[in-house]
Amino acid sequence: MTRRGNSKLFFFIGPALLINLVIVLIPSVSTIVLSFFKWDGISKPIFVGFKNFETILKSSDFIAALSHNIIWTVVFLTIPVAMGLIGAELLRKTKWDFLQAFYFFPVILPIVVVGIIWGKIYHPIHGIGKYIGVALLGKPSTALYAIMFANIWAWWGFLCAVFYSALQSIPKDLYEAAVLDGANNWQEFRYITLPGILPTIVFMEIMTIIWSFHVFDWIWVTTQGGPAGSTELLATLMYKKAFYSYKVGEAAAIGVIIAVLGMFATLIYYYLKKQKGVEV
Amino acid sequence: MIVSSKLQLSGAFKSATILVSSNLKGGNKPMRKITFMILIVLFVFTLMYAQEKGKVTWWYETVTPENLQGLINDLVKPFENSHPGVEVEITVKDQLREVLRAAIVAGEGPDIVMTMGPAEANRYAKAGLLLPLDEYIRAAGLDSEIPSLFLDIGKVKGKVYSIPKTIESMGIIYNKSLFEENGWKVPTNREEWVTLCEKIKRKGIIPVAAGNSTWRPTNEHYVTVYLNHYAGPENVYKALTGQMSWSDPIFVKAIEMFKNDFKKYWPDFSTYSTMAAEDIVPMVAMRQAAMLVIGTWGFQWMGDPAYWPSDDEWGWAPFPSLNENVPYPIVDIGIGTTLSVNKNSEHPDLAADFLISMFKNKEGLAKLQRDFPGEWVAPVDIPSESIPEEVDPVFVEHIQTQYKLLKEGNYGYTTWTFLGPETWQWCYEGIEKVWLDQMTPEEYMKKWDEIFKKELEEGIVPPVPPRR
Amino acid sequence: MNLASKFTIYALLFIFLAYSIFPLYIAVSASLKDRRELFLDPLGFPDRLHFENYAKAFNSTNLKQAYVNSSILVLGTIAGVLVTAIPAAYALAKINFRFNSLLIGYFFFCTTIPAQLSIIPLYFMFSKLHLTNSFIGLILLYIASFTPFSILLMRSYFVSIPNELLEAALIDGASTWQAFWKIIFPVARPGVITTVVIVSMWSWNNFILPLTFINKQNLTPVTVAIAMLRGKWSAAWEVIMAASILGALPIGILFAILHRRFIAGLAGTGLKG
Repeated sequence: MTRRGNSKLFFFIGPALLINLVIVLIPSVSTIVLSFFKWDGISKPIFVGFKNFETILKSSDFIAALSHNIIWTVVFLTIPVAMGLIGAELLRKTKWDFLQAFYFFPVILPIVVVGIIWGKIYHPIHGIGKYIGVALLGKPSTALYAIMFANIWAWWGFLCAVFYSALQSIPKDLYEAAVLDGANNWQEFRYITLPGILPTIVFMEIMTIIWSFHVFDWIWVTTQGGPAGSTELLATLMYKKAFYSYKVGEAAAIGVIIAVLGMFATLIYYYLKKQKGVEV
Repeated sequence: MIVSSKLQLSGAFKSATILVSSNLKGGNKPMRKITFMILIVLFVFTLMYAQEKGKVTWWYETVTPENLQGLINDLVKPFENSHPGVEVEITVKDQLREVLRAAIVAGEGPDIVMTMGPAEANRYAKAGLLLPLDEYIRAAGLDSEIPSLFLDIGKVKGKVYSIPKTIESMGIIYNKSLFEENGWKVPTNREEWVTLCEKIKRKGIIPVAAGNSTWRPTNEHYVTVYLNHYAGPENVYKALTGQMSWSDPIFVKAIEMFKNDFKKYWPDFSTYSTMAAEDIVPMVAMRQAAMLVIGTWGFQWMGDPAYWPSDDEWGWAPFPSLNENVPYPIVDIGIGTTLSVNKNSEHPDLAADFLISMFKNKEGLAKLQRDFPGEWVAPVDIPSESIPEEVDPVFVEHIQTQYKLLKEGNYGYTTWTFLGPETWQWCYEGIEKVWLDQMTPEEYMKKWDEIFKKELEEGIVPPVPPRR
Repeated sequence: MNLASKFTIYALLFIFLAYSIFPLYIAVSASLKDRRELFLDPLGFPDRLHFENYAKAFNSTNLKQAYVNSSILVLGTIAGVLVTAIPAAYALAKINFRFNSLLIGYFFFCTTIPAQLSIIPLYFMFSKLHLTNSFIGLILLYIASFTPFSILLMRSYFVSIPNELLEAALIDGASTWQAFWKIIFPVARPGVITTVVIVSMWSWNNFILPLTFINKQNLTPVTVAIAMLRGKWSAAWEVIMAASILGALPIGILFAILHRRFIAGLAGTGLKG
C-alpha cells in the first residue's frame, strides 16, 4: 500500500496489457465501429450512423430478448450464488471436501453434452415430461426456466469451488474463538465467513451480471431461441443477425449493447469502492 | 499451398522467437522448460508442413464419419487415382457457414467452397470471391446435362458460380404396412387428405409425426408444401418474381388451411418443439404416427434400425394437391447444398477439375446413393442400372419421380432455396406466432410481403428461372 | 452443534450430491447403450454395457492426437496466464497507484465484449500475421481471452489478505518481490490453483476458437474432434456421449488431484493474528 515507481509497475502489469491490447482491443474497437455500418459480412460496409441502434432498440424481438436476459441475470445473481456459498460453508464444517469433485464435475462437461442430457431428462415421451404431462422445453412459458435449471446444475459447482478456496485464507482461530463465545452455525457464517470472502463474492456477482448477458451456448444447444422466441437472448439474436440475416452491422450494435450492459455492472464496483469505502 | 505454408512457418517462427527470447531473458526455470517444450513441438509440426504436394482442400458441413468415408471412396479416391500426386483433403467443419465466412473474407479458406444454397453462394460471387465455372462446365458437356434451372439460379451477372450437389423435394414418407393393413390409400387431393387424416386420428394414431427441436427452420418445410399445393406453383413463381403480392388472399388462405391442419393433424406445439428426428421417425415405424411430411434427406434414416426399429415397410408419395386448380402430382424442389471454387485458391484449375469430375463420375454418384443416401442427389442423369442393389428401392423411385416431374415442369418452390435470408427467417419464426394465435395468417403474410419486397429491391433474392 | 443442525448439514450436502450425480448417471448410461436402445429408452439403465462405444469414440475421433493437442494448448495457456496475470493481480490488489482503478475497469471491460463477432476481425488480423492454423496463435488468443478474468479473480483473493502481513515483511527488510513470493503467495495459493483449474478447463473446453482458427485435421483439439462425430441430421449420440466423457475426464482428474493437494489440505495455513 505504498506508492511505487513506474518501472516496477510496468514489469508487473506490462505483459498482460501487451497481449491484451493487441488481441482484445482491436476486435472490440472493430465491433463498435461496425455497429455504425451496414454490412453483410462479405461485401463492402456502408456507413449508416445510428440507424442500426434505432432499428434494434425499436424492434419487439430485442425487447423480448432483453427481458429474458434480465430474468436470467436475476436468477443467476441469487440461486447459484446462494447454493455455492452454502455448499462451501458446509464443506468447511464437515471437512468432507472430496464432495467438491462431484459438485465440480458437471461444470467440466461441454455445454452441448449437458444440453443433450437435460433434453433427454425433460423429454415428453421418454423423460419426466411424460410424468408431469408437460414438455418443459417445448412450452413457451416454461422453456427458459427449464434451461436455467439445467445451467444452474452445471454452474453452481464452479461458484462452490471458487468460494471454498477463498475460505481457506480465513484464519481458523477466528472460528474457534467464535465457537467458544457461543456462536451458532448461522452466526459463524454471517459474521466470519461472509465478510472474510466478501471481495470474492462481490467479484463473482459482477462477473455473473456480465456473463449473463453473454449467454449463448445454453440456448443454442437446446432451443435456439424457440419455441416461439420464448428463449431468445441478446447473444442468440446477435448471432442470428450476423450469420443468418447477413446483418453484421445490426449484430454489432447488439454486441455494443451487451458490452454496455456489462459495464453497468462494473460501475457497481466503483460505487462500492467510493461510496461505501469497502475494499473489494 | 506451399508458398502460404512457408510464410506461415516464418510468421510462427517470428512469434515463437519473441516468446522464447523474452522468457529466456527474464523468466524463471519452469518457464524456460515450458518454452522449450513449446518450441520443440512447433518445430516438429513445421517439419510436417514441409512435405506438400498438389492439394485440394474442401471444408465439409457436419457429416457422420461413415457417410464421409462413403464420399471419399466413391468420388474422391477415383479422382486422386486418375491424378497421381494430387491429394484431396476434406475437413469437417461444425458451423461451416460462419467459419467459412471468416476465412474467405480474409482471403483464406478452402479450395472447394460448400454453401447452404445459391443465396449464400451468390453473395460470395457478387463480392468477387468465387471462380466462374462456365468454361469448365461447357468443356465437360455438363451444360446440356444439368437442367438449366439449377445452373441459372447460381448465376451472377450471367456467369455460373455454383453447382448444386443435392436436389431435394418435399413429399410424404408413410408406414406402408400400416396403410395396407387398414386399406388406406395415398391421398391425391384435399378431400382424400382430410378423410385419411381423420381416419388415422380415429385409430388413436398421430397422422403426421413432426418435430423441430434440433432444427427450428423445420417449420418452413410445411409452409412450403401448403403454399405450393394450395396456391399452386404458378402463383408462387409470380410472387417470387415480384409479379404478385405475398399478401394475396390465396396465400393467406393457404396459411389458414395449414394452421388448422397443424392444430388437428400434427403433434401439439410443445411436444413438436421438443421432438427430433430420433423421436419422430421411430414413431412412424412403431405405428404411433402414420406419416412424415419430409424431404429427400429423410431417406438417410430409413435403412437405419435405430431410426426404423420395426419390420414395417415404408413408402413415398408426393404431397396431395390441396386445391382443385393445382395439378397432381407435383413436388417442391429445393437445393440442399452447392459447391463452388474459391477464387483465392492456390490451384483453381485443379480444384475446378475435381469439382467437375464429381458430377461426371456417374458410377461414383450411383454408389453414393447407397453410401450417403439423401445427400448427393446430383442434378445429372444416373442410369438406373448402375445404382447398387442395396439402395432402398423406395428411394430410387423417389429420385426418379422427382427428376421426371422436374423435367416435365411439375414442380414447386421451396422456401429455403428461393427466398432471401430475412424472408426465410420470418417464414419459419413467424409461423409459430400464427400457430399460437398471436398473429393472424393475414398479418403473417403481410409482413412476409414487406420483408420480401425489400430483399427483392436489394437484389438478394436468388434469380428464379422461368417455368417451362 | 446439536443433532438437528448436524443432520440438516449432511442432508443438504447429500441433496447437492444427488442433484449433481443423477444427470451424470444419464450421460454415462447413455454412453453404454446401443443406438436403438438409446432412442427408445434414454433414461433407463442399459440392458447390456456396450463398452465398445468407448473404443469407437477413441478411434473415430483420433482421440489420442486430440488429447496431445489439447494438452499443448492448455499447458501453453496456463504458462502464459500465470506469468502475466499473477503479477498484475498482485499489483492491482496491493499497490496503490494512479491508474489502479482505471486498469481494473479496463479488465472488466475486456470481459464484456461478446466473442462471436470478434472472430471475423481476429481472423483477418491473424491471417495477415500468418498465425492461423498454429498453436502459438491459438494459445495467444486463449491467453488474451482468459487473462482479464484471471487477474480480477486472483486480485480478489489477494485483497482479502491483510496488509499487516505485507508491511511486517517489508519492515523486516524484504523487497516487494520477496514479500510477494515468500509471504503472500503461499496464503493465496488456493486461489491461484483454483484459477489454474478454471483456465485449464476453459482452454480444454473451448470450441469456437479452435474451430475457426485451426483447419488442419491433425491439430484439432478434443472439442473439435468430438464435434466431427455429428452428422447434419443424425448423430451417433451414444458414441458422442462416450467421447464427451473421455474428453472431460482429464480436467476432472486434474481438478481432483489439485484440489486434494493444494486447496483442501491447506486448512490451517491461515494467518497467526
